[in-house]
Amino acid sequence: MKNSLLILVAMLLISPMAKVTAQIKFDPTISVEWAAQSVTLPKSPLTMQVLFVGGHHLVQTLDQNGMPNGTAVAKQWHDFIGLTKDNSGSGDIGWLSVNHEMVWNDDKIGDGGGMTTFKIRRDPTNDTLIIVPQTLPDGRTGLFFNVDFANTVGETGMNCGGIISEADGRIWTAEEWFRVANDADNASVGSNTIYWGANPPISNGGRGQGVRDTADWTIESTINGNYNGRTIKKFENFNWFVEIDPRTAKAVRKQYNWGRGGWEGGVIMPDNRTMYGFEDMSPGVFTKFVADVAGDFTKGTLYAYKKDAPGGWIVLPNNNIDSTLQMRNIAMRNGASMFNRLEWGAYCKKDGKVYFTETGRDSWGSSFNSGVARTGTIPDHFVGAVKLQNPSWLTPTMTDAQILDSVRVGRFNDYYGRVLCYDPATNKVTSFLEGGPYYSTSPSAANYPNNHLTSPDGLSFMTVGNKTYMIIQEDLIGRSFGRVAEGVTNNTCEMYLLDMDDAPTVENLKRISVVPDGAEVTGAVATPDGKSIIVNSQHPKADLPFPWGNSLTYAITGFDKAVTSIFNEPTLPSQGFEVWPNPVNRELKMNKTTDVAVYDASGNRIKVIRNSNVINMSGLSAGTYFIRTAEGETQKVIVE
Amino acid sequence: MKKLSLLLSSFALICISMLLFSFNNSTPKKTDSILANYRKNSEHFLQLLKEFQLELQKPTIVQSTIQNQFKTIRLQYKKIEFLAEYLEPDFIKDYVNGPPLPHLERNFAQLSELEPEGLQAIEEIVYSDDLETSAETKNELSNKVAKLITKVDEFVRFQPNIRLSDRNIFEAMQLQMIRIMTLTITGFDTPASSNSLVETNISLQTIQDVFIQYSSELQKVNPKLKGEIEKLLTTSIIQLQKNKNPDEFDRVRFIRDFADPLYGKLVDAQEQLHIEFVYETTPFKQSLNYKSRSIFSENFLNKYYFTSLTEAENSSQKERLGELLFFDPILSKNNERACASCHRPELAFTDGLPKSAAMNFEGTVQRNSPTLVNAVYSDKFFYDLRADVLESQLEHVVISEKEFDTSFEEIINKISSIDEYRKLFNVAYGGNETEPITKSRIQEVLSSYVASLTSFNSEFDKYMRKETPKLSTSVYKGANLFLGKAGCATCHFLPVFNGSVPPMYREMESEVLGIPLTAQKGKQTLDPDLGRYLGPLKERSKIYKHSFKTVTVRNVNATSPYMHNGVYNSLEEVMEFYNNGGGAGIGIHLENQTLPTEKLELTKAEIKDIIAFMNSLTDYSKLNKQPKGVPLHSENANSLNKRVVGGKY
Repeated sequence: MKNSLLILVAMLLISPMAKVTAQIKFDPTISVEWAAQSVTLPKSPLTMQVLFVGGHHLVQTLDQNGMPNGTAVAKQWHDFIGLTKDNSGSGDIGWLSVNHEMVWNDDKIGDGGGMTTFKIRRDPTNDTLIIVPQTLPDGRTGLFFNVDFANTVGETGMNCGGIISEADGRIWTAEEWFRVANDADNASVGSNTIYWGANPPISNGGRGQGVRDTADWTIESTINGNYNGRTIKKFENFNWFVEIDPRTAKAVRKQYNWGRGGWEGGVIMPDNRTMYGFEDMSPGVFTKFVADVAGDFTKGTLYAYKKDAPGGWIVLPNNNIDSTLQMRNIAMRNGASMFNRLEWGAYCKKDGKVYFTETGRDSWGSSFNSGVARTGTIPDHFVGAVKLQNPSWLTPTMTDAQILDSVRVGRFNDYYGRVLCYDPATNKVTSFLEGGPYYSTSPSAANYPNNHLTSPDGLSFMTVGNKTYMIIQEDLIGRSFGRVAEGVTNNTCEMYLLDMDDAPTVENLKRISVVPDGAEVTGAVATPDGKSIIVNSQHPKADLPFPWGNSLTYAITGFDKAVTSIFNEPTLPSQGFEVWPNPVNRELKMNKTTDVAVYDASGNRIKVIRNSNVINMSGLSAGTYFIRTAEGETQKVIVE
Repeated sequence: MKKLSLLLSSFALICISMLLFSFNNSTPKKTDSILANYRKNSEHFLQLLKEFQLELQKPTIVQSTIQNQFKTIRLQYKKIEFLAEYLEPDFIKDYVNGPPLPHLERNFAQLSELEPEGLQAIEEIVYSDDLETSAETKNELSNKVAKLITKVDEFVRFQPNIRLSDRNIFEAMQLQMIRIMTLTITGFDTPASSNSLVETNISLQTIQDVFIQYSSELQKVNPKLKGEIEKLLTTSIIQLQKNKNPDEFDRVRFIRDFADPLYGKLVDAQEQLHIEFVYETTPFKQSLNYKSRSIFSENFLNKYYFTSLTEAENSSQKERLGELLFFDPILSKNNERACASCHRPELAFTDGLPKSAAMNFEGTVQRNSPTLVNAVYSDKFFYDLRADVLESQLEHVVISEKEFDTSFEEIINKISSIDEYRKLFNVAYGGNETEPITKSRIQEVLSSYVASLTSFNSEFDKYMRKETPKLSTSVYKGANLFLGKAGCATCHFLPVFNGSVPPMYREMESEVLGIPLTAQKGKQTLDPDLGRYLGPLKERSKIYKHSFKTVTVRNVNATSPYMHNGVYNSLEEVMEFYNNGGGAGIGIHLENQTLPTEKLELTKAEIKDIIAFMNSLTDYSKLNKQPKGVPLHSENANSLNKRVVGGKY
C-alpha cells in the first residue's frame, strides 16, 4: 500500500517532465522517490597498477660525462614496452624495457632519448605485479635501470617503437623522427616533451642541449661489411634499430645493416632469422632482413617490399654504411612499394602472419609523386581503401591502375588508416582492417561513435587460453570527418581488442575503456600468463592529475577472467527496455539506440548521452544512480 | 505481493511515459531543420565556388567583378561558419578559412610545411595589384580555388553522417559569439576586403535564424529572456547596418552593449531549456568555462585546462607553498636566485631589465622576462614556445646554466633538509611521509601559485562588464582603435590580449615582426635571435625563424622594456614600430614577416589614445605581495639560512 502510494506520487512528480515538447530534454533534477527496475554494475574484474612513473622514479645510472654511477630522475615520454621472459626458473615474469621518445640531455642518464629496464614478478596471492630488486653485473643495484647508450653505441633519440623477438625475447628499440642535419641535434634544450629547444644555441655546448656531442661518430661494430672504423656525421648515427640487453641494461649494437630510416617498429619471427621493419614516413618502406645464421643479426640479407617483384622482395645492398645510410632512396630507386606512415607490427602465432599498422595522413598532397619519380610503386591495398571511402572522383569505370594513380597525386585523403597483413606464405600485403567511419556508403558510420577506428598505431597480440586477441591502440592524426564525435575538442585515442576468430571489422572491435581519459596509450604488451596488459600512457597533455600527468607504465590485470565478459555479450531482447551491465568496460548496454540521462542518488542530472546504445559509467564512484531514456523508461543502477 | 504491485506500477508508469513521449516524438527535431539548412547552405557555398571557378576561366577577368563574387562567397561561408567551425575546426583552419600564412602539418612524423589554402589565401590574390595583368597570378588563384572546391566537396559529402544535439547547436552559437567579438569584428579574417562589418552582420543573422527554432520553447519557459535575446539580436544587427566604415565603427559599444550580453543570454537560454552542458558529456577538461556569462568575466577561461592541476586537487595550502618556493632562492644552485629575482611582484612579475642577469652576473639570459600575470592562459611557454605546460616550463629554468644551474635531485635534497618544508608538503598533500618532497610536487605547487596570478579587474574589464558606467574619452577611443583600425586585436586577442587563439584559446601563436637589435632611429639591423625556430625540434622550420610568442598587453605599464629582447623602453617606441609596419618599415626585410608590412597610418593623437587604452589594462596590485621570510634550517649555522626572500639578484 505504502509503495503504491509512493509510486503514485512519483508518477505525479515525473509527469511534468513529459510535457517538454518536440526536443528531448532531460530535467536537471528529478525526484528519485520512486522505485524502478534495478540493475547492478559489479566491480570491474580488471585492476590497474602503476609500475613506473617518468619524471618521478629514480633510475640507476652508469658513469656518463665524467659523472660517477648514481641515480637520476627517469626520463619521460614512454612509448614501446619490451617484455623479455625469464626462463631461468626464478619464477619472475621477466624484464620490461621502456622507450623514452624524446631528446633531452642529462649528465647522468646520457643525452638524447633512452630506455629504462626493470624486472617484474607476480604475487601469487593477489595477482599484483612486484618490481624485483636486482643487482646487475656492473654493480648497479636497485629497481629501475638506465640503459647505457652513450658509453656503448652512441646516443639514441626519439625512441619510439621496437621489437620483441618472437624467438627469444631479445629487444630492439627504434629511433623515429628522421634527422637530416646535425643542427637538429645541436642547439637544443630538452624537456619532458620531444622538444630540443634552444637556450640559446650555446657556443660552449652547455647544459640544455638535446645532444651536446655533435662530433663525427666513428663506428665500432662487428657487423659484417664495411662498417667498423668508418666515420659518419653525428646525425647519421641516429634512426637505426638498436639492440639492448634488458638483463644488463646496456645497448648491444646499432643495426647498421638493417638500413637507416624513420623506424617505428619491427618484428622478429620465431625462426630467429627473419626481421621485418616498418618505417613511419610518407612514403615509407616495409623491409625485411634475413640472417645467415639464426640468432646472429650481424650478417644477412636486406630486402624492401615491392608488390610486383618475384617473391615480393628486392635485395638492398647492406654490406657498407654508404648504402645503408641511403636505404630508402635505394629502395625507391629499385621500385619498392610505398606506404603511408607505417607504425607498429606484430607476429600472430595463430596464423603465422605479420600484422602492421598504417596510420594515414591528412595532407598527403603529392608526396607519393616524389616517390614515384624515384620509381617507387603504390601498393594495391589503397584500391580498396579508396573504394570504401568513395570519393567523388571515383567512377565505376575507373581501373585499379587509375585509382592508384589518383592516390599518387594526392587525391585520396587517408584520414583513418588501417591494419595491414603480410602473409609470408604468399608474400602479399593486404588490408586486414580499414579504419572508419567513412562517407555515406559506409556501414560503420551507422554505428558511430560506438564503433570506430582511426589512425591505428600500436599493435600486439594477447593469448588467453586458446584464444588470440589483437590489441590495437590509436594515435589520432586529426579530428575531422568523424574521427571524434561531433563537438568533441580532444583527440580521444582508444585501445581496442579484436578476437582473431571474429571477422576483422570495425564493428567487432571491443573498446577497453580502462585507460584514463585523454591519455594516449602505447606499448601494450600482454604478459605470457594472459592476465595482464602492460601499457604506457605517453602524452601527458596537461589533462590529468599526478601520476597521470606524467608518462607512466602501468599494468591492467584480470584479462584472464575479463575477456569472456568483453566478448560474450548477451543478446538483449528487442522488445521493451533492457540494460546489460558490462563490468569490464564500466558500461551499460541498452537494447536500443536512444538518448539517455544519468542522475545521481539525489536526483541531479550528471550525464547526458545522445543517440547511443551504450552508457559509459566509468569514472562514477560506487553508489546508486538512475537512468532515464528519452522515451521515459527508467532504471535504477547500483554501481559497485 | 508488494513486489508484484511495484512491478506492475512501474510498468504502468513506463507505459504512460512512453505514451506521452511517443506523441512528442512525432514533432521533427529542431536540430534536423538546422542541419538541413546547414547542408543546403554548404552546398550553395560549393556551388558559388564552382561559379567563381567558371568566371576565372574566362579569357579576361575584371578584378572588381571577381572581388564582388568573392565577397558573396565569403558571406555564404559565414552562414555555415558557426557549425563548420564547431564540427571540423582543424579542417576549416587548414583548408577553408585559416590565416594566409604557411604552416606546419600537424601530427606528422616529419617536418612538413604547408602552403596557405582557403578563402584568406584566395583573398590576398583577389585583392593583389596584378590580378588582371599577370597570367601567373590568375593561375595561382585558379589553383587555390580548385583546391578549395575539392576540399569543400569532401566536406559536403560527409555531412549526411552528422548527428547533432541541441547542446551542439548552443555550443556552436556560443563559440560563434566569441568568434564574432574577438575575430570577425576585428577584421581578423578579412584583411584585404575590409568587409568585417557585413560579415559580422551575416554571422549574427545566422544566429538569429538558428535561435528562432528555439524561441517558441523559450517563450513557454521564460518569455522575458526570449524577448531580450530577440531584441539584442535585432539591435546589434541594426548597429552593424547603420555603419559602413569599418574604421569608424564603435566596436566597444557593439561588444559591451549587444554582443557580450547576447552571449550571456544564450547561455541562460541553454540552461533554462534544460539543455545539457558539455560537462555532462565528457570528463575532459575544457579550456572555456561554458557557463560563464561574459567573455570579460574572471572565470571565462578555465585556468586548470592549462596546467596539470585539477580544480579538485588544488588548494590554498598548495598555492601558499608554491608562493613560498617562488620567493625562495633555495631553488638555485647558489641559493641566491629565486623565481622572483626575474619576476618581481611590484613590476607585475617582470624585472625592468631588457634581459635578466645570468647566474653569477656573467652576462644575461637570452630573452626578456615576461609577466606572469595571466601567463597561465597559454598552451605553450617561453618566447620560443618550447614548453607545453607550466609544470615543464620550470624544468628548463632549473637546469639552465644561466638561470638556476641545478637539478631536481639537488633541490629536493636541500628543501628536504628543512623541517618546515617537509611539514608544509605533508600538509599540502594530506600525508605524513618522511620524504614528502618530489619533483612533481614542487612543479605542482609552483604551478598552483603561478596559476593564481590572474587578473581581470582592470578599468577596461569593469567597464565592459558594466560595473562602471564610463571610460575616459581617450581610453574609449584607444580601445576602438585597438580593436579596429590599428589591428592590434587580430593578434592580441580578447580578453587576455595575448596570442591564444579564440574561440577555444588552445593554441598560442607566435609572430615574425622583424624586431631590431637596437632602438635607434633610421635603418636598423635585425636581432639575430631565431626564436621559435630554435624551440621545439618538430617546429624547426624556416617559417618560424625570428618568430616569437605573442605575449599579453595587460599590465604593459609595469612591464617595460618591451619585446623579446627588451629593445624598446616605452610604449611610444613600440607603437612607432608597429605603425611603420614592423621590421619592414625600418629596413629589416624578412621574407617570412607575419605582421602586415603596410603602415598603419595612425596619427599621433591616435597613438596616444591606444597607449591610454593599454594603460587602462592594468590590474596587478592585489598580487603584489610576498612572504615575510623563508623557512629556516634547524641548525642556525647552516649556510642555507643565509637565504633572503626573493633572492639577491
